[in-house]
Amino acid sequence: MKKNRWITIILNLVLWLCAFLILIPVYMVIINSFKNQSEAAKMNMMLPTQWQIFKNYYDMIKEGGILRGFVNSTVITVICVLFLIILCSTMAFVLERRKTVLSRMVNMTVIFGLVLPLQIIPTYFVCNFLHLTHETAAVFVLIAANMSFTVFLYTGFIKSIPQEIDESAWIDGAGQTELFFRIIFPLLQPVTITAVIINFMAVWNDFGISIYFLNSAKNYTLPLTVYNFFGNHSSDWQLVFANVVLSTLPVAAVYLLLQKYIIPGMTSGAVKG
Amino acid sequence: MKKSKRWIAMGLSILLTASTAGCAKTNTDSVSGKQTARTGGDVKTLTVLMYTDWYKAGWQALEQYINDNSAELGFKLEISKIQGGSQGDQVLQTKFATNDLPDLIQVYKPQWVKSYANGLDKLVDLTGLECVSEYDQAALNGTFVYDGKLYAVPIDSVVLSGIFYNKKAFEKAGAEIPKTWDEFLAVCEKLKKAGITPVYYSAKDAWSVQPPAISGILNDAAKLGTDTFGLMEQINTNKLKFADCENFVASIQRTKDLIDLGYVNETYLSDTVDNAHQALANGECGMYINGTWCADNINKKFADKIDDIGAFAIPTPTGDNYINMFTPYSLALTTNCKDQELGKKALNFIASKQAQQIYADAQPGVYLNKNVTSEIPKATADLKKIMDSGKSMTDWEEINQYSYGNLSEPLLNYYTGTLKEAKDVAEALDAETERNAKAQGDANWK
Amino acid sequence: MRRQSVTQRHRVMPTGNKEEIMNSLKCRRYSYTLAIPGLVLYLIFFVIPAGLGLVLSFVRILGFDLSSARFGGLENYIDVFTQPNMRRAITNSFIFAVITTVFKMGIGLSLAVALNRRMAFTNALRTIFFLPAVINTVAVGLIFSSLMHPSNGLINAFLENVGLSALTKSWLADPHLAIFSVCAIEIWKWSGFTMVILLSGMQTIGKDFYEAAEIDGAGEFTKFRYITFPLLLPAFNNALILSIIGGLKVFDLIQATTQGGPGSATEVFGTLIYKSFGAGRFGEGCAASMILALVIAGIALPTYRYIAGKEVEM
Repeated sequence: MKKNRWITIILNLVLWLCAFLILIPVYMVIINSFKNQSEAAKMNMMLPTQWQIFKNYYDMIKEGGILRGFVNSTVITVICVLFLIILCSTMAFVLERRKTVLSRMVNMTVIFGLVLPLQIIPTYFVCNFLHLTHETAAVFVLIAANMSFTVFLYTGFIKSIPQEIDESAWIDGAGQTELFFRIIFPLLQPVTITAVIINFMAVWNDFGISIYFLNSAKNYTLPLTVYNFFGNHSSDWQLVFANVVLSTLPVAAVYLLLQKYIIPGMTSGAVKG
Repeated sequence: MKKSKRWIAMGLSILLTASTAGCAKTNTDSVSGKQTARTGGDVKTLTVLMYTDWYKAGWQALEQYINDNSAELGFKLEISKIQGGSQGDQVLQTKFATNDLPDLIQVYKPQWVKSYANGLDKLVDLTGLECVSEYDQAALNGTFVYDGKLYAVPIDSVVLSGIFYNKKAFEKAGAEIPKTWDEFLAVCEKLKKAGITPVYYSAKDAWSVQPPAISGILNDAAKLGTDTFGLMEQINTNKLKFADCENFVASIQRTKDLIDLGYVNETYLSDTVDNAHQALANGECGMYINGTWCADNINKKFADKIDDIGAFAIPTPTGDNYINMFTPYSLALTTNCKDQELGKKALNFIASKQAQQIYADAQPGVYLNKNVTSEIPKATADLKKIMDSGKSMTDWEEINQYSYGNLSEPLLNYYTGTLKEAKDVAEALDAETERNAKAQGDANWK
Repeated sequence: MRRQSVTQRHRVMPTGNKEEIMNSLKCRRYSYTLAIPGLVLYLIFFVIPAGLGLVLSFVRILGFDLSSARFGGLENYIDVFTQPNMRRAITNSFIFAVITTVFKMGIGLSLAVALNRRMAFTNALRTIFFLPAVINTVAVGLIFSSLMHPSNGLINAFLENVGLSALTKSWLADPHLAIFSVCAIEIWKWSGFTMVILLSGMQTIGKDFYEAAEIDGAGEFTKFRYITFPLLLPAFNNALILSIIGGLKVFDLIQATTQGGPGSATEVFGTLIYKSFGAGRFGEGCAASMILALVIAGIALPTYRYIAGKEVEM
């Protein structure tokens, strides 16, 4: 027992040391958002001589249209994540369970999307051709861009759900929708949580797609606002960092909230007895 | 099963609250918009697009003025911004290709629209605008007037490039403004002995390695008896190659010589433009080669030091020194604008003395409008004097027909040893020009 | 959908052996209805643009103006390979992919194993390690450019303070070292992410396996080798493939830290494609994307199959 305690203590020490290393850059972002302009430009770890927390954040919010960006980011991200979870889990389930040649091929096409770099310009042409509004196009493209990954995640996981579960559900007379949403989907919880976290991150922080579609004063998202302070010839670093902090907080909060819900051993009780 | 329902419920409720918040905001916007419209009549809004770095104090002031007085002027502006640099360039190119353009658009110049975005047909011909009389026709030719048509009006200030120096540092080292390259090297030596970094390079911001290397080619133009327009005309039709421009190649070599002679800050590959501003303002370095943005930035960040900064042209071996002039940006009217008359009226106003003076008051600089006065930093005034004396030429980097790539890349490859000689840099530009010319099927390149 | 009673279904079942019946039932049971919306969206917004890109890769085109397209055959592809920086880009892409994958998987796995237990601060630690993944790439580029500065940067300052000044280097400015420094940044940013994927996989391993093993007297290492790792293979495979693909495809991080520099020292496939588009060589950019996709597929697919073959299906 004593040996176990020692191991735990040493393990904790090592882990916390690593955590400390990881946190240094994060600390730098935060502390530099509290400084005035010339000190922030130095980007070091010193404490600010002049604490400008309120001023910086206030300036940034006022100048950068941050609130607008924040609302837009939230709406777009929530919509995209919802769609991604629902569409991809169903797609993965059908394609994985249905063992025909066609479904294999379709599965391959979807997975191939992982290796193909997103071609933003042809996509832009297609959206333009369909006369979609910028916001709608952005949402659809963001969903499509992250689909391959989410389907990939779900497929791998669904493989590990035994088909006996499906069969017991059929025997109880369940239809496909019921089978999926009542029985299978809850079992997918760990990977759903992972997918929510990852897709939330990907869509919230997205830049390459948003810049093409969301560049009017009314519909830009939060990551794009950092460039209001960070130009090619001069920058207000303290505002840049304040912006980064504000952009990062929601995603960090989402992760904090959700990571508690990954419950161990979900399928261990399902087939017993 | 209950959990998933809960998730969906939570998600939907977040969605609803968020969208109602968004809707509420747009509602209040449109409601207040309607109110002002009701008092002033139905004022049309013109959409404008530009890069975020171009939206500074000047535009802020002008936008404010226009929107406050929109009833009298007859229009309002709605300005959208995107990130500048190569990513923004690509977005603009795509927008031109898909005709997804705002009413007014701010671009580098009409030539850029033609060469890089193939979209000159999407800009409206502005010939006949009244405000043109307030400008020097010569200043407009070639840049804003392209192919016989006036495609845009100038917006923002002229940028001049040269060597910015710290007067106090020079005094301390007992140095004077050099006219020839040898004198320049002597000045560097004096600064070094006084413990001051002679020349600052800020290569981490890759674009800033270009200013030291771009004025040599102006001597090539002079030798050919023409200006940069004439020179680039030859390069654009493959009658001349960058590698053949001896002064260009020699000037590139000289920028590397400075590194080899130890006159440049040791950590130049990691130092940024911000570091440079600080070093120059504080006298830690003697000279920094850049454009007048440098003076503007120092004015903003170290306002008490700005009077210590002066400027002069980059010295050449013969003493025949030119400076590069970057013409202001172009504000153009696109064919997408539904009310072209209003658009022209707006542009006419923006280019006129009144609007330009508002812009200049908020953002001092050298403006092309003859009737505009501005209090410019001393360094900028030094360079303006050189420009007025005729020793400046429009920068060649914006009048190329085919992209020659990014000059910073071969320059940095040369500094770090990947490319062996100065001529290799010029040849890299030629190779890239050739690739692009051939890709577009230009018959001048076989 | 109407619920059929068991007896009703018996009446409707075709005659034949049980195997056939179950199989055809299975196919009918998994109809495409649920999957159609997703597939349609994917088709319009991913497949069609990809197809367009493929077509355009065989075409010579002026800027982005589609009306000026002329057929160019394989010219674009040849142009990609004759790019001056091509060899550099290929080497760098591979170095980046291999190094980041090895370290991300190694560190991610160790962290997942260490944190797959209920200790005092597990949640906090998991969050901290994941945090870098959440930060904007632009911000990461800024921070590390500052940290890695040769004279003002924290890394070198720290090394000098502990007496290791011989190790101080120009992390991002030395052309030979820059790509490795960028690898380090990527590893810093994404190891926690790998940890999350692996943890998610570990959580599905039923406790009973471990209980059974403990009853048999297995130690920690044995438990890991014979239970955890084999059952973790699906998640491990996922993380591995994603890392390889991400490494070969990388663009954002390079652009944010070095833009492919100094000069072209950290040029990778992604930045080459970007520059092709920027110069208006649209067809060439599409061709380069296709080539990259094929290369990645050629590496990732066999690797995935190989490991998948070793998975233990539960």
